[in-house]
Amino acid sequence: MTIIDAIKIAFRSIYANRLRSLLTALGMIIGVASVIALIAIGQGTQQGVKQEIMGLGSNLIFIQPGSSTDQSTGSKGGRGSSTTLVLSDVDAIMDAEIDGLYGASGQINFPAQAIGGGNNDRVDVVAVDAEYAYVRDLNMEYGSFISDNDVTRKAMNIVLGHAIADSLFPTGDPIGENVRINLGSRFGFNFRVIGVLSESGGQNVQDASVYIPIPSLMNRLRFLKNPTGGTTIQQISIKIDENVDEVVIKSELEDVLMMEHAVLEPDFIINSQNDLVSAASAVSKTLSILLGSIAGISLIVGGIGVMNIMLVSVTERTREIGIRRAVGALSKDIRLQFISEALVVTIGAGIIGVIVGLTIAIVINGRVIAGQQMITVIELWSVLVAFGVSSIVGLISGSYPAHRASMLDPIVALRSD
Amino acid sequence: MIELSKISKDYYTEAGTVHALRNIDVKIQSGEFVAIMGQSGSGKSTMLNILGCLDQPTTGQYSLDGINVGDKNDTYRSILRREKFGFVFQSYNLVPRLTAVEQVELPLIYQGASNKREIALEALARLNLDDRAHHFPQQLSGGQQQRVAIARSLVVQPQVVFADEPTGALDTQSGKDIMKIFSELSDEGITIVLITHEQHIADQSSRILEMSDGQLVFDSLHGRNSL
Repeated sequence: MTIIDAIKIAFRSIYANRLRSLLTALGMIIGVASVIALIAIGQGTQQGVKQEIMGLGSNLIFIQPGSSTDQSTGSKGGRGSSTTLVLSDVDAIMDAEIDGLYGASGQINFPAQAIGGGNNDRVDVVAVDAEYAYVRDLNMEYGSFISDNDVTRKAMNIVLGHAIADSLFPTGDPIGENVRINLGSRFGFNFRVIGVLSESGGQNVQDASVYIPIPSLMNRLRFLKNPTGGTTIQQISIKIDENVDEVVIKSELEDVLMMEHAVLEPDFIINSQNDLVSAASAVSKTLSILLGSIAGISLIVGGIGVMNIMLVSVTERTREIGIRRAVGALSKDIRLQFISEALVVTIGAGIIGVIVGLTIAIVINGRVIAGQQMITVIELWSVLVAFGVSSIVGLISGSYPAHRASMLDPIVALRSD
Repeated sequence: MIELSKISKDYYTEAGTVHALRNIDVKIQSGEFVAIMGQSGSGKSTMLNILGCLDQPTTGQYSLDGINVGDKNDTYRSILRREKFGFVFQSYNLVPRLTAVEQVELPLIYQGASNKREIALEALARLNLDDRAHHFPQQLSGGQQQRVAIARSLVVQPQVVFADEPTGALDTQSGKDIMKIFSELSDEGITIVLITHEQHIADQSSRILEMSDGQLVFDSLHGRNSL
């Protein structure tokens, strides 16, 4: 018997049991489609996070406060929960004149409501110094960024992120307009718009942020003062020369700050952009593996379904097998027939699954689902793996039923009902 | 030429050993038309299965054209069935999902023939089934189904056709038609071994064997008292 004959017979019997074949294939279709779609989502997330971090500006190092320890319970707080980083640390870093360090800027972040132009929106308020635009490579669409002068005289000036400018002032240039920043229900402060940032694109947070001079709210908001009297900040961003070894700069920064804080162990955390990228990549790689494994399990479940149906099929067609043996089918012809049948079902399901999976990945790409913008990246390897695994699953789950069919005694098979 | 010598077949069941065939010695020449008669349980079907290489004897020698085929492996016996034998059964044994012409193509598929459809249609035409080629078994009468089965057995141009009560499920007229076909095949030189328990059917053969309790008790070639 030729392979072509075997495949023809397989198609005949699949067609004869259309509904059953379709339901059997459905398990595999879902498995293959979910492998492809979920890996595309996992890879998209990974790429999105990477872009977001790289989009923060190039060659950055971030310093954040270490975790605080509650003296009475000894329990540790989360990263950044301690108040060890203060505004004067920025000056200490600049005074140290570290080789390859271009600039440093401290910042305080807090969420607030912004009201302006008759509209309101949720914003991230970032209180910064004048260096910030240079360190973080910010570009202006309108007006200018916060200046040293604004910082010195604690000016109530504000720079809007692109998305915030769009939502508060959809009709155009908001320079000179008034924006009120509300913190809860108790505090509200009026600012004058002096600039709008260019669109950063992607999922970058800077589009949804507003920027104010760091001392402008200092004397009005108690929570910004730490017990030592310094101004607590949440992060120092540092711009470095890309040709200088970041490890050397990180260790020099550590020395400077430990000296400044008069501590023996760092009470702060230093990360480069690359550290963040690799940490985020590790997280999203785990996510990809997790999603892939879930999908892989559904492929195996699909394979079990195929084996189950093939065993039923062999039992139902025992007499047919006997007839085929009587007219001269070899034992291996029978095996080939049933393996072909399992393979046609699983490869067919694999092809449909690939189409469905790719369609899902393409359709959801860029859409906002549950408030989250989905980015999908289709990986060729995921298509090949899904297709390959489904074929192998078909081969394995078809093998045992086919073997059982081929081992039937022709006489016993002919006598069965 | 078929030659069985001291063929025995035992079945082992929980109730004990069943001696389905005991020491059968028989020679069948090419072109003979042999009818095997006997009560049910006399071993005639077992005998036919062993002759057709569907089953193997427990002891004894089966030689076909001088070659001992009784102890050959499954593949060898399958190829023998494919190339030299044809089978016709009482219950027709057609595959329900296949049309008449596809039934006839079955042996050709396993032979690897190239112009299967053409050969199968010729075989059907020979049995006056041209107009039924694309019918499914359930659309055919018993007699037509049995003719499809005969066409399937003939399509490989067999040396021997084994028929297990081919008229058993048919009405008288259809039975007559089927027997006429077997007579014609015999005239063409095809060896026919046919099981029946109807005397008038057996009378159309050239030789009658009668079995009882796993033994050959009568051979018309030698007369009633020869065995």
